[in-house]
Amino acid sequence: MKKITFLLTLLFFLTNCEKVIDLKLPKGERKVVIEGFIESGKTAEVFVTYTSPYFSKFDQNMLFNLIEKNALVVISDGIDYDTLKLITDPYVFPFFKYKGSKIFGEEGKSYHLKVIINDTTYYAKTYIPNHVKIDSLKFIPSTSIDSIGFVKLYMKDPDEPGNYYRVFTKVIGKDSTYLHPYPSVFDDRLFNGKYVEYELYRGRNPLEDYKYDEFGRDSSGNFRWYFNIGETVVVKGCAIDYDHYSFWYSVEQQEITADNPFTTPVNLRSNIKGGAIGIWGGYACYYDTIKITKN
Amino acid sequence: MHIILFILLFCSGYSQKFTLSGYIKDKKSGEDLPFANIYIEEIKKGVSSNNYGFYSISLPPGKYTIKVSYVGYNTLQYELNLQKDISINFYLEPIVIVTKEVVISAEKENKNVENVNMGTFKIPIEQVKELPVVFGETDILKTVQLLPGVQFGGEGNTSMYVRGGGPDQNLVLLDNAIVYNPGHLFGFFSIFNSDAIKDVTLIKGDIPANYGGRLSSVLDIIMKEGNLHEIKGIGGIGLIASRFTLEGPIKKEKISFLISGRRTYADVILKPIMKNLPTYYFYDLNGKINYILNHKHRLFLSTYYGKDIFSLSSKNDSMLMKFPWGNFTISGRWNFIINKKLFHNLTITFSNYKYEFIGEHKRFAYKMNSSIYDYAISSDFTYLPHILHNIKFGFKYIYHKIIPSYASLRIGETNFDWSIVSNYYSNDFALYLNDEFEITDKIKISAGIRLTLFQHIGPFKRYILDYKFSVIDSIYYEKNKIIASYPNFEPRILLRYLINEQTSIKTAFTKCQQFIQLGSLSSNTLPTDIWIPATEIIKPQISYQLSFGLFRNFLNNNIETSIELYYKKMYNLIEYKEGVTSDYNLRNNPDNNFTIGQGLSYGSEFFIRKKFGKLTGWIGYTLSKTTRKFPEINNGKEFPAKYDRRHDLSLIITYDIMSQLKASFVFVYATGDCATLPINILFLDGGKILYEYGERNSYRMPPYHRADISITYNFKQKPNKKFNYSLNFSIYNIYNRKNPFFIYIDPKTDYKNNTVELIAKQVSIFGFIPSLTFNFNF
Repeated sequence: MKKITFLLTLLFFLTNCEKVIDLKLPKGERKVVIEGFIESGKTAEVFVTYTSPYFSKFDQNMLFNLIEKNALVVISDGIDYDTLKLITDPYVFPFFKYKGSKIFGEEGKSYHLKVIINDTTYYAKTYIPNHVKIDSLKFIPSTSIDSIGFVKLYMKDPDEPGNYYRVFTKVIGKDSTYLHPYPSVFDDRLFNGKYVEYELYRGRNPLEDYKYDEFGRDSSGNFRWYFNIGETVVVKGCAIDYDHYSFWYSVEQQEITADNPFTTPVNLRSNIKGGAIGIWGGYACYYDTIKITKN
Repeated sequence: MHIILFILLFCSGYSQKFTLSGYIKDKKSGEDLPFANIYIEEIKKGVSSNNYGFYSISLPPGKYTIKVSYVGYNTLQYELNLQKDISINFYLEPIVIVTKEVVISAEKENKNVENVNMGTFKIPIEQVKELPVVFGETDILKTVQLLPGVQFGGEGNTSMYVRGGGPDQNLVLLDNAIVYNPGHLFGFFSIFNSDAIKDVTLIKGDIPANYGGRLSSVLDIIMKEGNLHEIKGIGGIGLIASRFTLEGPIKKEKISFLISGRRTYADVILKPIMKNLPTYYFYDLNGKINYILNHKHRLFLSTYYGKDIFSLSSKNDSMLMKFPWGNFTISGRWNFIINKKLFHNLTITFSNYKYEFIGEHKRFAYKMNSSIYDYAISSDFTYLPHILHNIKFGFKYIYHKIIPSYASLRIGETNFDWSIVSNYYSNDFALYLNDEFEITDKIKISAGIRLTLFQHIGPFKRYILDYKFSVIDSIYYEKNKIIASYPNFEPRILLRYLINEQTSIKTAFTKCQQFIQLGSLSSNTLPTDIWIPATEIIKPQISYQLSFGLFRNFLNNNIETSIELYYKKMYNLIEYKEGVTSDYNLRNNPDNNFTIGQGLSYGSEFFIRKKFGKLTGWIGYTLSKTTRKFPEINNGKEFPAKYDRRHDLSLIITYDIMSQLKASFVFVYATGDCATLPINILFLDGGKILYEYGERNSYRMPPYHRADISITYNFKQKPNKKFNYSLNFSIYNIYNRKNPFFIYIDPKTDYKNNTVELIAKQVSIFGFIPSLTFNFNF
């Protein structure tokens, strides 16, 4: 359905008139945005920013003013506490994040997050389920050019219903961080207990947008979405809990429906309490690597 | 005193009476004239023929002057000496357009004042044909949308919103068969070909007991039967669409037929010019056979079949999208005059609305279809025991089969079959009784009751979900097992107080139910919205409406004016739960995705109309408000309904420039549609721009307004030649107003300066569109 709505929107662009208008929207109150996660075997990372009124023009200054650098960010596994410290990360916007040092994510455990800014406390809870193994990876060359293509992931979904997943890829030497395709989250409603194949393409890094044209090609003619022969791709398949899945699903629904007149707008399904928007999610990760060769 | 007389007259055979009955017909074609007037001078009372043209009056013996009239026809005067029961058919002559003089001296109707129904409009087909057209097609739905209290759904839409109700709250009947989607895509055309239609009646709000199943209005459309005397044809050739209707006798005076067809060919013309344009075409076919067995029995068989096909393929054919949908109806009716006072009609109908969506993109193919099938039988009696009473009673049974969404998906080589979705089956029974009677000379009442029983029956598989939309259990009900049962009753009471011949006050209280409603994801009505019946989770919708009206005519009924006020409360309305998109229908029952709430609608409608003369037309203005309140939506706060339009104005002027040249002008103005727009931006997932939306429907788009004109030239008919020609030139949206269809946000990134700006853009679809049509008839 996402594709349908996108295509219908496309139709209207082909056959009609467009004009720029001056929208007078009511200003929403400024809200805190928290994006945090804890992976199995790693420490927690949390980004804290603010929302911006709708019609601001964004430049570097404006964006940096949206970052909150003085929050108190603490996580707990029910026994221990870990106060996260602000560090820089040049690879991921907003370039500042709070990182843990004491608590490492473990499967089967729940983790609580508390973020205190001035006098307001925001609170969330997440659970890291058991990981699900990736059975194998396969390179599927594109039909037109066989030196580029996609990677297919094969796995077996556990028998009980209620498994939720998010998948990432990283091209070694090219990607500084894990990227994810769209859609990146899925559940097991259609294939509970069965073998699943999921097609992955190289995801979007918003910081790279300037390099590519509207077809996803850079100045040398390379496509941003494909994997190339000679590349080594690490695939990270993660099991997540329902609230974590629901949040990214709502993000992806919003991405595809945002400008679409044929659906009711989707608000993000945050799991943070206290009035902030965002997510605190756990990941149970399983890594697998494929070296793409000609065959 | 009047009451006692009334009771005596009604209950006894206290004075001997004889019955005059029969049919009122068109003299030239033999077509029945539904709701024609029969007026008896001596007692200053009249009755009207029923929807099949049958009338019956019981009077004491004596001499009477009878005046029979119908809009568009010369009034017939008949002197009768009634001494026994007698059967007379009256044949009325249609008014020939050229001689306007005849129109002025014809019977002036004060029907709008005299009628007990407030919101009933009879739409004369001839008037529909005079209005401006687009792409050469006059349209019934487009005309209905110009009446006060009826708001059009917006650009690209044939939906009607009547008194704050959605487009699914209008009962649209074609020869008694329900039509679920009466519009073609882009909203310029309804599925009704005006050349094949005889009569259109719109009832807003105060619906009498013989109609049921919808909350807001009834649009009852009757097809022509076919000329019983000679072969006739009507047609038109336009730039984008053409149509042709042929009717005539199979056996003179006994059996007649009518067939009608229409097709657009915009795709054929435009495709070579604009390469990436979608292919779009539609066609409509109507057919009818009318068989008069004898003076007591008549049989009718009519059918409609139509389809819209939309397909879009991308430049390199890597993407293909097809969107076929259509309606199919069959209606078989048997009229039986049981005796002079009792008329019976048995109807058996079949209706089907089906749509499909097929999308293919590289290795991904998605197919979905959804349909609704209705099998119905109804028995309707008209009983006219006395001139003061018009009694209707009857019963209706519909068996509904709804396939809400069946889909299949193919990714690469893997097929996912989603036909596990369970169909909905239901029984829909109704029994009704309605009496329209005069208590005194001034007071007329229509009192009726409708008893209903709606059942959700098996076979059905109910999926029980937890809050995560995961299936935790399922229950299977076998065929015909009753899963939910809703018995109820609907009183319908209307009252008219006649102050004088020119003025009346009316009031009405009605309770209506609706058992099948539209679940709509969009702010626009798309053919992909699904019909959802009442189940054990979703109760039937109920509305209570109170209305009040003042009617006043001037200048010998040439000018009609009215003011109507209404207040309507609706319960058990459905909306999709927040966050649901259409793929939630997989391995699930669609009705699990809805949440329940209420609605409130109130407003006032003003109407002024000039009926006769060189200049005719009307102005309708509605001031109204409609809101919704759902505990699970918008945090339980009341929000404007999708259909809320504070102001709605329509102005129509038709002018006879010369005997062969006629012009018409339409102007419409409506408050803009509401939308839910973002109030905040946020960044997530490495720098992606996302939004926080404001309250539901809190933003108002700019108002909609537009003017159209049309000029028709009738070529002089050559003597002894059968053919008549006319040429019509129309312009839609003469000042090219860019009415907003939707608003979207375009992020504009400047990589050099590292800035992002969000620009709001408004998309409009239809600007200035001229069209030329050549019409003919023989």
